[in-house]
Amino acid sequence: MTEPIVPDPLADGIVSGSVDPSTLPAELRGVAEVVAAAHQPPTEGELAGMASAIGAFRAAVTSTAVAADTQPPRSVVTMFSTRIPKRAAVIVAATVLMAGTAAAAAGGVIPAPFAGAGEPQIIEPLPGDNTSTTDTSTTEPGDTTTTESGDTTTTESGDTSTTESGDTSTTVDPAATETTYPGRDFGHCTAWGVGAPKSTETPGFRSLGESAEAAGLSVEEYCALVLAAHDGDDDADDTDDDTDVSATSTTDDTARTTGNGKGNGNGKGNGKGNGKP
Amino acid sequence: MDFLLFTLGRVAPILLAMESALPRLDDASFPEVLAGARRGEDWAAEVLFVDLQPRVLRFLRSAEPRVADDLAGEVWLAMAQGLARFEGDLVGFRAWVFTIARRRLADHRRTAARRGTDPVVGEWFAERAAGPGADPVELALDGLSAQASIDLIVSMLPPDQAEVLLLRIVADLDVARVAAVLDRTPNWVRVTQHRALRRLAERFPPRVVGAVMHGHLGTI
Repeated sequence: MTEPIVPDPLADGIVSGSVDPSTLPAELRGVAEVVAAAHQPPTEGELAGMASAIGAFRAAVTSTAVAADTQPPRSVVTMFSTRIPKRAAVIVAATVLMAGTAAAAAGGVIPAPFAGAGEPQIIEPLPGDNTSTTDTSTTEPGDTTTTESGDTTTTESGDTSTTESGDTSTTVDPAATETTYPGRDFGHCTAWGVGAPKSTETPGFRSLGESAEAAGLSVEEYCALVLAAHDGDDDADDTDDDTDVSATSTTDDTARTTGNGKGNGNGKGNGKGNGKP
Repeated sequence: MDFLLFTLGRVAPILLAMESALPRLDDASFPEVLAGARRGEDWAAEVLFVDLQPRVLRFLRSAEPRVADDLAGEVWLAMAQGLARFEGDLVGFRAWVFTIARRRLADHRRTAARRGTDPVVGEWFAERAAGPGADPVELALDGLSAQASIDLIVSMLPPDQAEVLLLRIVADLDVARVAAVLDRTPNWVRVTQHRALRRLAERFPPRVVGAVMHGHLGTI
């Protein structure tokens, strides 16, 4: 099938109105005349309101220029609105991770890289090591002993930015535990019963073994007493570790100076520590 | 003193005439006009207005006559706000302005569709039948206004063909620019333009178009 076409030059001439319709074939004159009519100069009505339109145009241009001078470029705005939060989130996450790791190291809870699941290796901090934590004024060295509950994720209680729980509702009466069982032993005992059998020969449980030996008990017997004593405190306080999540982001210096409290380590591990001022 | 007055009397009218005479918007004057418009100078805005406002109005009135003036105002506002970022020549500027106009038209159509006030949803230029007793040839020969001519063209063509012709006629864009505005290929624009002209030729006058087209214009 063939169709008649209008050659490009002629078509361009018609649509641009540059072709005199009288020079075209009769059958195209009508088209050319209509198109030429569409090219007529502006009418007065089409230019009505020019003064107000120009005023509005000038105002818009000026305001846009002023805005461009006073506001940061879009790229900057974009950077602040999108890139910085992402970057800040990464920085915060990295800071939290490093702080948590440092505190965990100070608290004696660092999982071995290839430790079996559910069997964290607890490294007992050296005396005075808690001075390297972010908060050294909270408790005495032994009172910052931390525990974890079988989760290999590091857990700490000395990092106030992430896990410190200063909620006074979780405060444990120091008199209930301080005289008989060091607070660190509760954490060690909690970890002792989780996962594979532990050995007091490991650095993390060495102090626990020494405490049990000093009490003339086996580690299991000693821990039974420690845990029973602590459970009693928990029952009395009617606290729930899970609820501490809401308090992990807050810090109550008053409560911390008492040396008592519970802490959830980076959202996974649970830690409890008792101490005295 | 007399010399100064004489000189001032000669120069002042020239300066006033230079001040009142606005340049015509063309490829040569466009950079200066654009720079003046960016500075918010009235003379530059007036040059742009005289050249573009009738074109934009004719384009918008052919599609949405009831809100065309409002839409044109939105186009000018968007133009003023984006003027500093524009880069290009006069044809590119017109293409940019009509791209804005099309977007404002599309926004209006979408809004009208959501409100259920526009029965011709999704079509830019719905076919509109000519009024009763309106003989195209007679109307054409009777001296149509620009807007009436445009409305007549739109009423006789499918939406895509009407839009191509309007951008070519009203916006004075070449094939490549029309293709860019419509996000089509230049070849598509050319084919559509040919079909539009052929369709109009069939209406002006329809009785002899076939023989003349074959005899004078060739075939494909």
